Amino acid sequence: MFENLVKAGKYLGQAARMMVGVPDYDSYVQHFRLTHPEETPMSYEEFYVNRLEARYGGKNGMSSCC
Amino acid sequence: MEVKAPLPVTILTGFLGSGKTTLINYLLENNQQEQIAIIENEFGAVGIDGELLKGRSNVEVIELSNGCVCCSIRGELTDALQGLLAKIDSGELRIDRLVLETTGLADPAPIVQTFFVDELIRERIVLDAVITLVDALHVNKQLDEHRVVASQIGFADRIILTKTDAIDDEHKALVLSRLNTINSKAEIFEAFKGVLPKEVWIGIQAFDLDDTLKINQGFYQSSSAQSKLQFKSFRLDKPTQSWSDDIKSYVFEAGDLDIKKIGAFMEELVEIYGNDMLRYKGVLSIAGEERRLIVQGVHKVVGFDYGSLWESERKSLIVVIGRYLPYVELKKKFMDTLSS
Repeated sequence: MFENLVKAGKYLGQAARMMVGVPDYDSYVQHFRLTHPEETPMSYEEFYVNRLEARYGGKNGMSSCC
Repeated sequence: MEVKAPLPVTILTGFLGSGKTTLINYLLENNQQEQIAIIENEFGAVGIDGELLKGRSNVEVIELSNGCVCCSIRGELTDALQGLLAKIDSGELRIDRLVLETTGLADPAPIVQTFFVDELIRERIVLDAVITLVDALHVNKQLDEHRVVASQIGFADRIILTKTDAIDDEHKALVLSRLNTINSKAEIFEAFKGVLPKEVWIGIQAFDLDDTLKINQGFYQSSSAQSKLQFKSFRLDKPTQSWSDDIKSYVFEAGDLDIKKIGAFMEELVEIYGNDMLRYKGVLSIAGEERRLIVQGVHKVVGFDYGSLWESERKSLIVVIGRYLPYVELKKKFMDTLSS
């Protein structure tokens, strides 16, 4: 991890890199399992469509969860 | 084209009734110098004092409509922040600082991640710190009943303890011990009647890759709103009671490390356990390197850089605030990264 250290900036937002391409879905599943263990989380495809709609004004926002 | 300095934002979190709005009202009452925008994600029982806003041109309040929806906040927050930046660019708005007050029921995770995911926001807005308010009187019960409370405490760079006048010393020692078990990295400040000077919680730069990292050994106390804060060490006779909070601080300490081995360790740690790692920071001593190696992260967002030169005793320290990590196994793997 540290071998190709390129000075990018002091702030985490500048220096950061994501370890996984799409962290959002992982975080969502994690959050969902912890908060609603009795329910099934959306599939990656469903999640993707949901996020697109939420962002660009589609018909379904993500349902309230807490 | 003029390059604008990034806009600093402070996330103010804490369970219902912990005193977030009181703190904001105090900030507004005592802030004359800065143009502040407040993003409110809660329509609490006590709103921001309308009287304080009257006649003030240096405060902008933005309300997010889905008060209590933590899964959807990221999209809405991103939109609100982008809207704010557009207004700044067009000259419609001048803002020096943002304060984001979350709903008392919100997990800060998706909110914090918003600031690292969207490219425009990452470039134009700097996350200053996560400040968590804790109601000393009720926090033990809240931690037992609402899992989000441990997450709010775990994410904190600084913890502000309120309502300490309503508890005795024994109770306070218990609360401090429990908070420190969950988050041993965050400094704890006791608010006097719910208020604290803004210097305590604003302008912290907690997401900078700096050399500061220590295990908290006490808390700051003041006897009046104006008096100087005094550091008080935790009691030596620490409460023996243990709790079953799912989030706690994991500390890894060693001497000089091998750059390749510690790199592989961190990579594996973040890849496998990143979703369970709320916040983590390390200041590492690398064999053959004169400077400190600093690593900091939030879940799977990780950054690292070299810091200042080692002058005194060299040592490596990593603090991970995480959920159910296999500590014994990880500690063994960490010790295997020692330079031979």
